[in-house]
Amino acid sequence: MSNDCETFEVELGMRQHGALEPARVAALEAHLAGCASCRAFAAATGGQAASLRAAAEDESGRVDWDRVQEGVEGLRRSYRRKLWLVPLVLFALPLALLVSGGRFADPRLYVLFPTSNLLVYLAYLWLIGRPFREVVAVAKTGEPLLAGYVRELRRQRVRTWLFVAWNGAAALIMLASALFGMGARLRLFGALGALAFGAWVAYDLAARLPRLRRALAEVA
Amino acid sequence: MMVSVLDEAALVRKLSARPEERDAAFVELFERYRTRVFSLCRHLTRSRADAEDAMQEVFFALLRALPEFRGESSLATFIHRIAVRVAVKQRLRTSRHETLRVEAPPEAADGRLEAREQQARLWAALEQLSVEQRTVLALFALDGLSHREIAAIVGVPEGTIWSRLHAARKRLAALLA
Repeated sequence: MSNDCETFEVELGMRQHGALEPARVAALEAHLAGCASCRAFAAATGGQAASLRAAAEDESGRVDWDRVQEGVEGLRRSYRRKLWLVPLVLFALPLALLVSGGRFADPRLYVLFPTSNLLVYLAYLWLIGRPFREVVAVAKTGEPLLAGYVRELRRQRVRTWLFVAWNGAAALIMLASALFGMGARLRLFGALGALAFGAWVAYDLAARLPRLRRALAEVA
Repeated sequence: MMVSVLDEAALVRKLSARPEERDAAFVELFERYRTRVFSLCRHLTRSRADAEDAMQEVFFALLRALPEFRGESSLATFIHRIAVRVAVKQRLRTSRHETLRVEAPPEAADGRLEAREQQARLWAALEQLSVEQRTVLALFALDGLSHREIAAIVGVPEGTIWSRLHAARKRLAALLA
């Protein structure tokens, strides 16, 4: 097959979708008349769009549209519930820090606990807003699909490693307070904190990072 | 089903209206675009169940993104762009290493059995294509989208769309041969 044939094969697709200039249509017809390879390609690919349409239509006939619509409503309800968390966290966090900070924390760890928690909560708020910003951004700009994905997946991987490092450190600090903390309340708080941050680290390491790695491998 | 520009403008106006009117307009939007969005999602995901999940997310994302819609592109382009993005994301979420979901085979009369087998071969062949190739094939398989709109949805130059379509068609033909 010559390079010309490659060009004509591309033009076969353009003609099928009505995007080929009339002058090129005539040239394509002339080429097809004398080229068995391109005729075979035209025959093999000519019905693809119709087959794809038919296959999708066949499956769409079995979709329960009411269930899908109900699913959309479910997502809306869940999103509205999440929105309540934003003011709740914004007001509850400083209040909790003010009211209880001086009582339950060892003075040496007094700065570390609230700082760690504050950063985690800020990250959570940022995570709530991110999918929305992402949808709006792609709808406006239409960034190149896969290049954009690879960038996003890599950013997610870096962020996840940062979370692992930060939460791992927080878990260790809290574990230390549970082991060596002076008061019973501080020990309990440290143990619960170590458990929570440890679980977060374990989730990132066992589930999130492997998923990102698989996704990157697939895109690549 | 394609929607005229006037219909589309009226629908967008209704979608920006008060909440009660907006909900009714959203139902209308869902009914107009559900088949097209499903087709696109089905071509880009691994199963009908995944496509249905992706569809829910597409319409939910649409609800959230519509207030930002300024008419810089057509509503169809806007919707398809979100659909492609969400469906690809859904596909990446369900890793290829995961166990395949088993779907109950539909009851088919003897005459349709061959057609079903052909469709099964087609889905298996599509599974071998790259995400980029599947995307462009799926968009070209939808009725009524011009190559300019497809280029806008994917976010690449028009020339790239044609070369990508050619590569996808060629690979699919080879897989089905």
